[in-house]
Amino acid sequence: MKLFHLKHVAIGLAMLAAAGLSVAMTPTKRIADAASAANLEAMVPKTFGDWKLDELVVPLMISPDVQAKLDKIYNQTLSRTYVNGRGARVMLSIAYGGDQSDAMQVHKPEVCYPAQGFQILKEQAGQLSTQSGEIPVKRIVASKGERVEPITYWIRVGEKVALGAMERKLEQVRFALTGVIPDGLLFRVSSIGADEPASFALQEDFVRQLLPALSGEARLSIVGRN
Amino acid sequence: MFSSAWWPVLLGLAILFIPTYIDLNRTLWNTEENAHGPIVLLVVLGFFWHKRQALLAAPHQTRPVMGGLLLGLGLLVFAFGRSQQVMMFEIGSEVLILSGALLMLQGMPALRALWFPLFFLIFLIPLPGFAVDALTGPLKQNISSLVESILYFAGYPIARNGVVLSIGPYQLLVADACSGLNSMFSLSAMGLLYLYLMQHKNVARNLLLIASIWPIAFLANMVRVIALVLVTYYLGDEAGQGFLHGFAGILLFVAGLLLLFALDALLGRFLPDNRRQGGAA
Repeated sequence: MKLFHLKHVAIGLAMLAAAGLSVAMTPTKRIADAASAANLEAMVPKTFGDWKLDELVVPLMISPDVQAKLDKIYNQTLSRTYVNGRGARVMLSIAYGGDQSDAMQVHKPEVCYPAQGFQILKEQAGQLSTQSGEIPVKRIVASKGERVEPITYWIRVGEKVALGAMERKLEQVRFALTGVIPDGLLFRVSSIGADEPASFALQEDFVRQLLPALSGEARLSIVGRN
Repeated sequence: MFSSAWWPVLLGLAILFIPTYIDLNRTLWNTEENAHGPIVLLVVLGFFWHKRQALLAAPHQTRPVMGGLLLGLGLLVFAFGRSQQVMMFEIGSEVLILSGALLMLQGMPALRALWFPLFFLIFLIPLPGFAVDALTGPLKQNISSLVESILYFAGYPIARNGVVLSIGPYQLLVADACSGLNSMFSLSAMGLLYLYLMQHKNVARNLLLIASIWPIAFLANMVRVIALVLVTYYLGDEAGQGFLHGFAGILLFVAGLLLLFALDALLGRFLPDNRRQGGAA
């Protein structure tokens, strides 16, 4: 009889140990603490190549109530509109998250646009080729009434751009096993226009001109070690 | 005797999983995809209570080594899943941990008596992202093209471009949620529960019913999408997107279950249970 009780106690203790282990394995250090948290405003130049800031147009943002819920210290957003020499406009929106979990979700265009009455008409994974290599991107087309807005975006987690949820998880775990919570960044460009190929080409041109104009640190923060 | 012997195990389980369930209650269970979670948990708890004799009986055919290995593996999987926020591991570990502990403490007969609630725990695991990604797209395509053909043959002015349906003046996007994947998952859970409760002895009948769960879920979802398209066509955009949208979701689930019951009743006519005796399942 006594033996069985011993077994029960041993199992209970093993469970307690596992609970302790899970706490010990949970990463607590944010990468954002170590490296100085990105300052988006300063990171992205206001003029580069053929493009310059256009103060008149403000891109679609997440709604204020959602924004309010986000952790203010570790989450930053930047939204700007740029215009090129031919008068074409591209809206840029960057969301940076110190723990890359909640923030990235709410800023994902598939979530953010429908939440404000847009319909997602198309979505497709693709590649955006730049001087420094291919970036895996997602291209989607959102529309609301007459407004058709093709969007290109990618998400960086830790050190790489990862499109799939699975890939992001793996990168997160890779960091977490060293006790660090990786940061993340969502980079989105969009333009208004029903001609999808032309819009996507315009966005690609914007990114191609922007990346070389960034400092090494800023490029690392935006496209990782791609 | 029961209480004094089992409390360390129960306490251990509580320390492991109560935080998990609190988290689930705060997050995943509030989403449409995983709303069946609390029901599954209640069913599992109910079964354990119902079969508590298996836990109280004297140990028999215990498997200390195999049980210990399962338990150890389960605990490691839990620690990994919990700390890295991998839900599949965090919740899935419960099956391993409980099975292992049962094998060590009570033995094979207890595990056999409790196989169903242990198996049913699987439905607490949220569908992993890659499975959702892989299945949602093709399902959406199929649903939209089927709905288009059916309504076209019924004489409605309908056209399709990808997963966007145009009917009359309206454009409707067949969204991810319309793929019916969620209802397939929750209908699978409820369908298997129903089958287990019915305890049909006829193998063919059981297999046919299991095989029909997904087609039924698919059909029910198609009916839902058609209904929503028609509501939009006749009553306008607001009606199609508003209250009726949510209501159609519930209706879909109930319709799916009823279809399954009806099919079971029908099958019962051709494949009756030849109950020899009502032995333990």
